[in-house]
Amino acid sequence: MNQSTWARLHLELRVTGIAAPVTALAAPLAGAVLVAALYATGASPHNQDKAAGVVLAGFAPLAAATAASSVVGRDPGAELVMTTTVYRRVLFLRAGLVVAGAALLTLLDAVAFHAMGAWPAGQGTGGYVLVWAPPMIWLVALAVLIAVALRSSAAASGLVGGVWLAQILMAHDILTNTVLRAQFMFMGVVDRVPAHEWNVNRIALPAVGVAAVVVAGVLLGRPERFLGRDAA
Amino acid sequence: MTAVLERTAPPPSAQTDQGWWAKTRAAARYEYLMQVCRPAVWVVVIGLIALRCSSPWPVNLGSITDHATLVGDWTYDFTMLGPIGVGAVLADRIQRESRLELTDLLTSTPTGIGPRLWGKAIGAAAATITPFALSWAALLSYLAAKHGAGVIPVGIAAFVAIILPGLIFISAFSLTVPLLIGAPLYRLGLVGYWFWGNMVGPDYGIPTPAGTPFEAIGEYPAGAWFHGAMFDATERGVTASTANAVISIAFLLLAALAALATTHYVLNQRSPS
Repeated sequence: MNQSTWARLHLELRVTGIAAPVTALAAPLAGAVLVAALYATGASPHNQDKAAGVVLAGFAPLAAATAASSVVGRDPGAELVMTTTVYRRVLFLRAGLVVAGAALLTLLDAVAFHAMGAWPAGQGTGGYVLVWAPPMIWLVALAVLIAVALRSSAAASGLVGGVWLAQILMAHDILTNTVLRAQFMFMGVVDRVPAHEWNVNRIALPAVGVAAVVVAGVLLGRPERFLGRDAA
Repeated sequence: MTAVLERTAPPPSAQTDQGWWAKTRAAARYEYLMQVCRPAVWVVVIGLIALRCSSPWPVNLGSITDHATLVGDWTYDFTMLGPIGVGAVLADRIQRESRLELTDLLTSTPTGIGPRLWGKAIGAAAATITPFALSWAALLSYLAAKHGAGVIPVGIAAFVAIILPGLIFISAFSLTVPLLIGAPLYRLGLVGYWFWGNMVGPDYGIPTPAGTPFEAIGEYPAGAWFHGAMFDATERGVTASTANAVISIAFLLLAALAALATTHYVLNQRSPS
């Protein structure tokens, strides 16, 4: 990357502010502390494995999604940005920067957890990425789509937070439904998942995520929706 | 010019008190109208209630005929996810004026920090609870058609005793904590708190208020007064009593009051005037 690209990325990160990156990094950081504490205090291997799985498959994606949705609609100079560049590109770049940091830290968490032996049951080294990346793509994409469609990061974070918790509370109902099972983000924490169901789930989550990003991109084709209004 | 900049003499004490209430009422009214008109408030709160109610808990809910148990158990389908929505849409209210660069303008008006903060708390919280209350009313209408009109007074009592204290607690913290840590981090923490503090029972081996009178989901009032299901409290081997239920409600309301009073004090200290 040349100097102007770095300068642009640095500028966009500064415009994004401190709140979104801190939120995105909070869960993987706190999760690492939690799993390390369980390891250091000699907690049962079962509890260590569960904690590592929930941090990777649950809290890291939730933090990234909450952070990514918060970059929507907070641009005080939106009119100026829209006159000089494609707003869709700017918004996706800011969300991408926030999520990239969270993804990198979650990957480091995964490698460290595996080295400590705190690892979701039945997962190999493929889990370094497959346990957390598909749910992260899915939840981040849904959050961005809701935020763009409703012009509200509050709505996006509230709804994805609720969906996230509903996936835990209603896990039994979701896992007994063929369609919903493919959209279950905690599959990496479930014991003894048949291989074909695992494959379908890991492909379906990012596929729906990509579709959500495409729809968000289409909605951002009319960026004037974001002008001159308080948050919805 | 000098006359314009001169401060007027403070009014007598009685008039100040009267003015404080009038200003708070006025602020609450406008905050209510601003918040209740936000589509996000309705979409999020009703959406999350509908999501949980799509597969009601507990599973034997359809076979319950006792009115108190029926409404007591239905409250969980409203409080398991709904408060996350309430907190999420309230979290940006406290920073709204500074985001819109209105702080200086509002500071220059005779309305002080106190009426603006308490008016915001009362108005915005009431507006956010409105879709919650209307959803509960719709459920009571359905239950009344199925089980008789006797469900309605019991249902209203259940709303006041089980649902409302938790919502007031969440509203107060959602209007104050984001001032300290920002709205996005607060929203993440809210989901984590609601899960850990109300649904991760003591059997998981993690210290948690879940199953104690200090949880916000309303398990104690539901169990003590409405024969509702007890889950985390049962894991602790506790049977709900009137005393426990009163402690639970009092804790939630006093904690809400303390959060707002502390914020009022901090904002007063920061104020340049």
